[in-house]
Amino acid sequence: MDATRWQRLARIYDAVENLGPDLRDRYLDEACAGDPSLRTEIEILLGNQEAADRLFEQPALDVAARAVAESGSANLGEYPAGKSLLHYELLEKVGAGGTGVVYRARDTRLNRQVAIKVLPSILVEDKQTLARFKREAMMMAALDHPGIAGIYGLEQTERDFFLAMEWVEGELLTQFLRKRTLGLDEALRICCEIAEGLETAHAHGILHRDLKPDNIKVTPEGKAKILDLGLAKPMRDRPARAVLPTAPSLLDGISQPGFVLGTPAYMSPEQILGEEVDAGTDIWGFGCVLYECLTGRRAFRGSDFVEVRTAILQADPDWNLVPEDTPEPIRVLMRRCLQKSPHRRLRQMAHARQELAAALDPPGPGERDGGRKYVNVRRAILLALAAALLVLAASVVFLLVSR
Amino acid sequence: MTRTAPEEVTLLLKAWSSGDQAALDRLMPLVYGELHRLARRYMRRERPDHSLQTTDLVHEAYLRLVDAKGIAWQERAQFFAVSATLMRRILVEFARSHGCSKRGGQAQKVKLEEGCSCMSPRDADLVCLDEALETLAAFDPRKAKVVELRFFGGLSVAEAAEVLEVSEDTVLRDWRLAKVWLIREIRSCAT
Repeated sequence: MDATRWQRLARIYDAVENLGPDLRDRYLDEACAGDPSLRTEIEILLGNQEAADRLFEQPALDVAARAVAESGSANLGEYPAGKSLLHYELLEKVGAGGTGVVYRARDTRLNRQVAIKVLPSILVEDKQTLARFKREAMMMAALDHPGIAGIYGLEQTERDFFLAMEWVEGELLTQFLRKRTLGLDEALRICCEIAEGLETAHAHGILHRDLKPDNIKVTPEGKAKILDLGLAKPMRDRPARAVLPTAPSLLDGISQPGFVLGTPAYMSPEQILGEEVDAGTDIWGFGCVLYECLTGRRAFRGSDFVEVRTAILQADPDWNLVPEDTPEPIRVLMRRCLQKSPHRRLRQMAHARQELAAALDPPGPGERDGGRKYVNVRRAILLALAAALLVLAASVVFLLVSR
Repeated sequence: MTRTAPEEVTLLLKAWSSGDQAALDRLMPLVYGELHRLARRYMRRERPDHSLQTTDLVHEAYLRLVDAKGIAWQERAQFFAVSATLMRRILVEFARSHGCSKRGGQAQKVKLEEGCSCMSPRDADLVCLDEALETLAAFDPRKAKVVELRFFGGLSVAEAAEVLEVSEDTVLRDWRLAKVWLIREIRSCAT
């Protein structure tokens, strides 16, 4: 529409919308004199008032939610305990997020516990979303490592689409750390296992992007397992997109008990700044976890997000809290993981794993003796050689003299 | 039940507004989560008297998604504007993919009054509304913005006035005219 005409229309509309019918007619006669089409247009608009109030009565979020509820097909993945999906019996709901509901369940065929994540139908209905989801599940299935909770299968019934995953017994690292301070060896060992898991994921081109104590479980045997590779993305599959993707990643936010979506405290500086992220972001997250395991405190704290953000972008963690008996190479490793600039940060999880392994298994006294023995042997050989030379020289002299 | 930490939404919104498309991948599930929560309540008819009480539910949902409490006063306007744009994109995209998935992926428009067996007329409305807003923005960007802030962003008249730096009266006038004009456009889009 022509802007001038639109402004004229707006002025007249504003003036008449609250007038009674008589006054309104009289005003319109005058204001629209010579332009009957403008008058018609305004009258149509006035006739729309009721419909407009109805449609815009509630915000869009509500309109969309009602559409989901009314469509009847909406299956939100909520089931009571005891319900069976294929050969899985749901035992207990353990978490729910925007992209599905997670249950502890029993695989009745293999008679073992599994975690089942049921996806809500609105996310499954979209073909592209489903294709992307399957692709991601396959990628995760390729990650076979004791330090990473695995995926068993992708299942489909008439009504549901769900993932069967490894059920990890134990406690979230968050709870584990809340109960007590870890001993140095214990902290290093747990972190070494986490490092191994991450190293494997990275070797497959998969990033976690959301590593934090809430996404790590400690089993009753004391082994660490990484959960929620939910935000994992292939490392190079992140082109800058000008348009909205058709749907979210369905693996986003795979939930486990106590799962809370996103604490900014573990975001890397580049994540906060909205820059492209790579393996460095996971290495940062790992540095935060290492610090927390050693000190029992978060590396970056604040009472609200502004403070947390400022701490991440500008402050150093309190290095004084790191226990005194922490070996120097581990202190150095932690500093390298928590470099603000991704360019100056540690590049490979393998290096972290090696440092941790070395700190856990330092060269023992036996090996040092071995070294000393080696020196002694060399000395003995030299002595023997000298002695042999002496004997040889003596023999030569003896032979010459005796002639 | 997973609760969204508002501070995370805030950080992601900032990341998204500064160009990080990946932040959107993380924001969408959060918005969908609230969508589900509301839908679930409606399906169970937990609160049958909907006019008053669902307003509270919706308000709560928006508070979880768009909580400006931790935001510096100077940044509030931009924050609201960004979140409204985001809600618009996510919800329109949702309506588009949800409504069309059973029809083989082709976007089809549905008559507003007749409805359709597989697509709620409201889905069609959101897609048509989005297109109509584009048209409106071409000749009256402020009115289009008012609708985006109020309808998609869930902002009050006062908040919208703050974002646009105009009086509340102006926002009210813009809102009233934009609504009736949009209804006309939606009707013609849907036939």
